[in-house]
Amino acid sequence: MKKIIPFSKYRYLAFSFSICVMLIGFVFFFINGINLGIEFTGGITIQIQFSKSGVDIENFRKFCQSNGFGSNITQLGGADSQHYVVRLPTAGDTNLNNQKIEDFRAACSASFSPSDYTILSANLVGSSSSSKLSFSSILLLVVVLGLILLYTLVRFKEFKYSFGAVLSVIHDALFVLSIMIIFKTELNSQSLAAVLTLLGYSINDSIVVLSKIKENEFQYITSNLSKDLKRKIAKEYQQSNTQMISSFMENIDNSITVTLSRTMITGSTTLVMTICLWLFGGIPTRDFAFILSIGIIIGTYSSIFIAAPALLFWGNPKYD
Amino acid sequence: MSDRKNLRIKKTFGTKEFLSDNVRIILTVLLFLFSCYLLYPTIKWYFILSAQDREYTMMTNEQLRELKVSDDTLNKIKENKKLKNRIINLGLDLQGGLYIILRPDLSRFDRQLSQAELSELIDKAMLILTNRIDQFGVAETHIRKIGNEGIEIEIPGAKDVERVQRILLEQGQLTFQLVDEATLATIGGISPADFDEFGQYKYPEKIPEDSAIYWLYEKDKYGVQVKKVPTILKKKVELDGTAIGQVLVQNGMRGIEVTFTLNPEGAEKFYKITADNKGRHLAIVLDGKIQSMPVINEPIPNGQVAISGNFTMEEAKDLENILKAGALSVPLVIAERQDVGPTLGRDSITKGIRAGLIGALIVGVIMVVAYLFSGLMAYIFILFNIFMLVAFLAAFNYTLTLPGIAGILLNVGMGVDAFVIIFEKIKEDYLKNLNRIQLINIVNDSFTIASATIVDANLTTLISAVALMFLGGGSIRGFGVTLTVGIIINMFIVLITGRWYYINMFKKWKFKSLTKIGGIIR
Repeated sequence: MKKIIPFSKYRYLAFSFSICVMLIGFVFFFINGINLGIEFTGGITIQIQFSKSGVDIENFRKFCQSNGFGSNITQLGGADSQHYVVRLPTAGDTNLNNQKIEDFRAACSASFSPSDYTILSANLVGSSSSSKLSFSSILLLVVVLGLILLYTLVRFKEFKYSFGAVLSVIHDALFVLSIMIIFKTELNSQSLAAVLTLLGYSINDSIVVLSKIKENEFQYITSNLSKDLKRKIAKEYQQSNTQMISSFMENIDNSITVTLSRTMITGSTTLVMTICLWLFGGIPTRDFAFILSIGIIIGTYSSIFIAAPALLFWGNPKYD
Repeated sequence: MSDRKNLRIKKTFGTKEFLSDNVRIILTVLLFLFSCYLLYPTIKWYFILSAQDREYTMMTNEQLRELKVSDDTLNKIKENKKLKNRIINLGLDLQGGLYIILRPDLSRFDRQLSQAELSELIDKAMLILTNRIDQFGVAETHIRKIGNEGIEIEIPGAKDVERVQRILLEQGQLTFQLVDEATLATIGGISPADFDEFGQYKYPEKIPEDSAIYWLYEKDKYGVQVKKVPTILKKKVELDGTAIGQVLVQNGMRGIEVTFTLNPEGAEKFYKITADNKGRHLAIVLDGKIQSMPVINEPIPNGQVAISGNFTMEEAKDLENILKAGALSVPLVIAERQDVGPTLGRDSITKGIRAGLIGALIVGVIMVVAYLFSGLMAYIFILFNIFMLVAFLAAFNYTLTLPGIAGILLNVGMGVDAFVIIFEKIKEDYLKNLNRIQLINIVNDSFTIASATIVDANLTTLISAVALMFLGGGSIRGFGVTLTVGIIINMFIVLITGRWYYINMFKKWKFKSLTKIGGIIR
């Protein structure tokens, strides 16, 4: 028989760890701010890759500055990849924005021979579009969070359990946001989709653990109905090598232990897919896969160390 | 406890067996074959057809006409076009192309426009842009109105991006011009035979300076506007489209008529033109293409104009739309633009598929290590799940985007969850009831109890996925779609098909314990 692992003993350690990460994220927020994508701020991004050697980031920056394209340049995929993204601000809602992209193309073809570079993509979001996109993204976030919260409330019927689930969702959202701020990951529509997906994933994890606790609690509470029955059940438990549970805290630990292999196996198969996407999936999905990978780890962690131990806020009744 | 044992043996499975075993197996095979049938067009398109055939199919009819392809090829192309409606298409982020959202430049107006006015403005712009689309030289161009806000245009594989944008942003003009009948009379008419193979008129010196050659365009059987009749028009614009008010199609005394009103200023001009040029032809020209060339029957004084002739209803409607559209009354602004080069798209597909294959392999290893034979079976079901998902997407002519691929990959990872929940439940119940109840009953009961948990666990992910499907913009929607459809198919497969096969496996092979080949407990 598996030994019960005392997870909830470490709850304060876990709470402190999470709060620390969030605080670091908060500090970084004031230093760096959030790296918002052009969907939210409006702007132009041009992705370019050089096949001719010798166009390092310094050379490329000089080229951009001398042609009036600013110096907001990011290098993608390693130090010597020669793969860059230039970001330009927009000039209101006019076709001058579009002209800038054409100017960039013209400047490139004037300075480099056509076989030396490829313009991989060019994106433009004007200011009116960005405000609409921001609005719809916030709407999306509110709708998803609202529906998840509503679902947990309806699902558990008992506030104690809903509280645990909700706490873990809020925890995951803040945790991932902190990680994104610390690693300067761009917040764009793709990363928002990743965050929403992992909120759905994480709450699913928490629900499995929490329903196990609730199911077991019912079982233990009925055990004090009659002495005969209690003895009988105790005997059965002995026969089946199951340990007797003496308190709510032990119930929590036991339920986590019982669901642990499910949590770990599903977590690891999902994580394998997102990590593969992160490592082999190419640059366009790298951020997306990064957020999902981090998020799955956090979601698994929070269902064990946040959602379930949070129930202890409401006391630790003894079963007898 | 022997009494309890007897009681249990008599009990059959929890589900009612309303289908015999053979029928179930046949149904599964049929489902598999049907998925193959749905996937066949996609496989044929991407792996069997030659690159040449694909390129032909993507061309506009005008390009095909220029290439003078044979009738045989044309028939083949028609077949392939039908085929293309049943495949998984690639989104712009995967095949490269230009995506643009145009919005009217509302700063030109000194007041707030009503919704109705905005809608009309956008409809007009749509009409004009649709009229210009064939100039892009891409058959698969999509143009769509988004609310009362703007127009979305997708041009896959657009090569000359700058030219496409120039065409889109042109103001455009609807003009009334007189036919230069004097010149036509002196040179003895003009016919398509007077043009060389490059479409150049052979005797340009015969055309006076204030006139030029125009073509009357008509829709051919493909709905493409093609050059029909050449003629010579005066360059002078007698009246432009801004003067046109209400346009109507009527079934009047002279058959189908297109009527329109002119504003007072326009009416005055129009009266002068018609009075001076009675009996001559007046051409209605949109962006340099003659749309209609009616004869002026009488001077028209009050700005109430009727064009009649042997119109079909469809032709009349077309002319109505052209008159309504007129010129773009407001300039358009490129509010959003994404152009993806073909290299990036190709790269994304290969890398996405590679990531998927590596990941799927590792997931398989994890499942087999964790649950041996049961794990292998679950894994086969997951692969079947993905197969059905892709077939389903093909059936709906779905456009696959990069996030869509990510959604499919995620399905592989999360798809095993349902099986994991069941296996863990079986393990738990088995340990509690060691040697007391038949294993088969434990397995069956576990499926029943775990079903609720599975639906429960999938629901929350489904909430996010469905929200992304409906509220997510652009390529993110594709992620929502693959995730949602994948989850639903997964629940179906696990709870209905998977359950039956798994239980039967236990029954047929008479597994007595979970420890050996069943693999749930070591």
